[in-house]
Amino acid sequence: MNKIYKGSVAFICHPPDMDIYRGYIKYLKPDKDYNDKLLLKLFEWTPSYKITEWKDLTFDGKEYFDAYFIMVPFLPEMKDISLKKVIEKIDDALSISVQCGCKVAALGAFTSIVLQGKEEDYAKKHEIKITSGNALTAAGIIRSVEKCARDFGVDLSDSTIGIIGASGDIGSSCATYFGNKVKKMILTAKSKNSLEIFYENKKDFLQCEIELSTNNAFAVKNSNIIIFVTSSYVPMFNQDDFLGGTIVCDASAPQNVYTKMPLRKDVFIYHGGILSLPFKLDPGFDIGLASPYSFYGCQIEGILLLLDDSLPFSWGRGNISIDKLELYLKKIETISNLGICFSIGKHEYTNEEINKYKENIYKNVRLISIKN
Amino acid sequence: MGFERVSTEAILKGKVRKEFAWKIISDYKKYEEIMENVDQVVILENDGNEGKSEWFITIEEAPLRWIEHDYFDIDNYEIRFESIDGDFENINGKWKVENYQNEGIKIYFQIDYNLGIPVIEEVLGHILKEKMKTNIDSMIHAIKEELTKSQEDDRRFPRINIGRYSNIMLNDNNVRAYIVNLSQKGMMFYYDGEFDASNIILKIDDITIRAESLFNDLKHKNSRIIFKEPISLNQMEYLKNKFMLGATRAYERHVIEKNAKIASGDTEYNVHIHNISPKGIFFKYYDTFEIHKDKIKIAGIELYVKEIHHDVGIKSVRIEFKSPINEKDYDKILSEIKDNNSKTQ
Repeated sequence: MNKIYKGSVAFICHPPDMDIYRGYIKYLKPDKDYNDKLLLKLFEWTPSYKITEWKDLTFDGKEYFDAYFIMVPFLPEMKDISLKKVIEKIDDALSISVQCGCKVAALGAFTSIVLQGKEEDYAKKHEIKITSGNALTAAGIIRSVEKCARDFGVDLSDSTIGIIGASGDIGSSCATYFGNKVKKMILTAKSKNSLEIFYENKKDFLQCEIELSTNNAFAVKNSNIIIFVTSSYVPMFNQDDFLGGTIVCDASAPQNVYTKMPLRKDVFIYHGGILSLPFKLDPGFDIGLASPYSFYGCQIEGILLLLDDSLPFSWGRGNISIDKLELYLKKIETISNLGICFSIGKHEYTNEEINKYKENIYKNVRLISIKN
Repeated sequence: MGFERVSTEAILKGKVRKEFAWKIISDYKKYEEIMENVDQVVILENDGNEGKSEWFITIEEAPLRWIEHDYFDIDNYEIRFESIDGDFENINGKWKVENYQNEGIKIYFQIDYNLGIPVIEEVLGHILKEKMKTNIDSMIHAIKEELTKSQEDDRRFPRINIGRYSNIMLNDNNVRAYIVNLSQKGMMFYYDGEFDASNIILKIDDITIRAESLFNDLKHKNSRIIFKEPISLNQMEYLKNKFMLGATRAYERHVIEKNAKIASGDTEYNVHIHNISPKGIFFKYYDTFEIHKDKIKIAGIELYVKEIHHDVGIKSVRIEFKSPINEKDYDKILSEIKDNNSKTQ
């Protein structure tokens, strides 16, 4: 069978938090400890650079591609860095992507937020396709929530979904999708005004009972499925804050829910927006994932755009229509060996563990329903 | 990745002495006062020639720390340092003070560093180098500022040359010192003994002066002290008269015209001494004469040579000593060479 070479994709990324960055420095220089303030400043001064590259990747054994992992030295903890400087770094990362011959650049985490609304300008400047990857991330979250509900015997139509960060690009698309599939949604954001604007624009899709709030704790205590998609760079909750029987999909980078071992047996908390792959993407150091056979949905969207020219890329905020979402949901179903996976931190859930959660979640979810 | 080097230099023209610069450069504790980027320097060890110091500096909000081994070479006005622990894989370097053309000094500062974090160091390379260069520029600038201040003091308070021995009370000890010069703001003198240079109280008759040491060269026994408050013009006049009139001329020549032995290195030479003073000696030799390491020995007393006029044709040598011979040693030399009865060869 002839190989079809589809070109190269750039994964433009930054460490989601200080822990991951510390781990990266430890990987580079194992015998030394540095203070955080020094590490942050060194990283702030560092221009973007290529970390590694992976050649001859394929989902199906027919179409092949290469991937370049490009670091934008930025951390949410950098309080003094100017927006201009971050944009310069992303601009440099796009230049590196073009130099590497990439046709598509997938912007991870804050890089997509920083460039939000300016994607077209930068795509033209560098003559490269740019995507925030939010459509596939949203699709991955949706499929994972649906799978959890199905596996744990939770009836979505009788569920309350809390979406923390519902006015963002991913949060609003998840809300639009679930708007006619669940009993109730509690949507939270920093600004109630932005939620009201979203509700006005999408009310045709929001057929269930809707509560708009700026109180995240209220949503956490009154939902049996919670999706975190905020841009907060510090944890907002810890695993003990949830009612037994809750399903928690934490798709924020850095994560919004602080977890530690042992994990709770009656609350299923997992890292959302992550998809499993048939090939390894392992840079050699911890990038916040449990398995080298999984990767961030936002970056995998870059691969899908490389493989399928007809797919729409993700730009701006509030542009993920139901139709676009359906295209990506379908891709998850149809692309060979691309799937949903469940992990938290460095822990990958086994089927046996998921079966145990099934019993506990099902038992407790009934209690939440009775309470409500 | 190998070392990166950054270096800088400052030139100070005019009557500025290397000793002044040395005093500031070798006083690491002073750095945190005069340099914005130096947060703290902890002296862990220091025996005058070698030491260990712990440095805490901030380069554009990046806090850096290291411990270094320091080597102080006062003869060559050079400090070398090598890191032994800290954020840098290595940070080594040197300070050097040297004469500049006919008048003035050049201060040279060099750092060789290696951050030691692979990848980051390669990508950051030129950016870090720029920041390191700015950092050392600001350090040498601070040294220059400090030196300029003392030069300004010199201009405001002109020195008068004394060149006499005098008795002074130095930290409650009556000592006999060779006073080189004096101004309203300071005094330079030679004194053979030791004294606490950190807190100096000078008493001359009814005048009490509090002072601090600008430099205290233990090897050459010369000290320059800075008065904490300038003395008045009347006090200055009084001290000048006391020093100039109340003491014998310090380097009066004594005619000897006798044979003697002068050693330099491992060789002892037969010479005929014409005359000697605490500041110099004039003699002729018989076979050969060579100076080793700028030192000669007469009557067992080691003397450092500042200048030598050597006329090979008539085999005569005139030497100026680096510092005047103290009274006790001078008396010993005089008595030994005057008592020498060996005949002219």
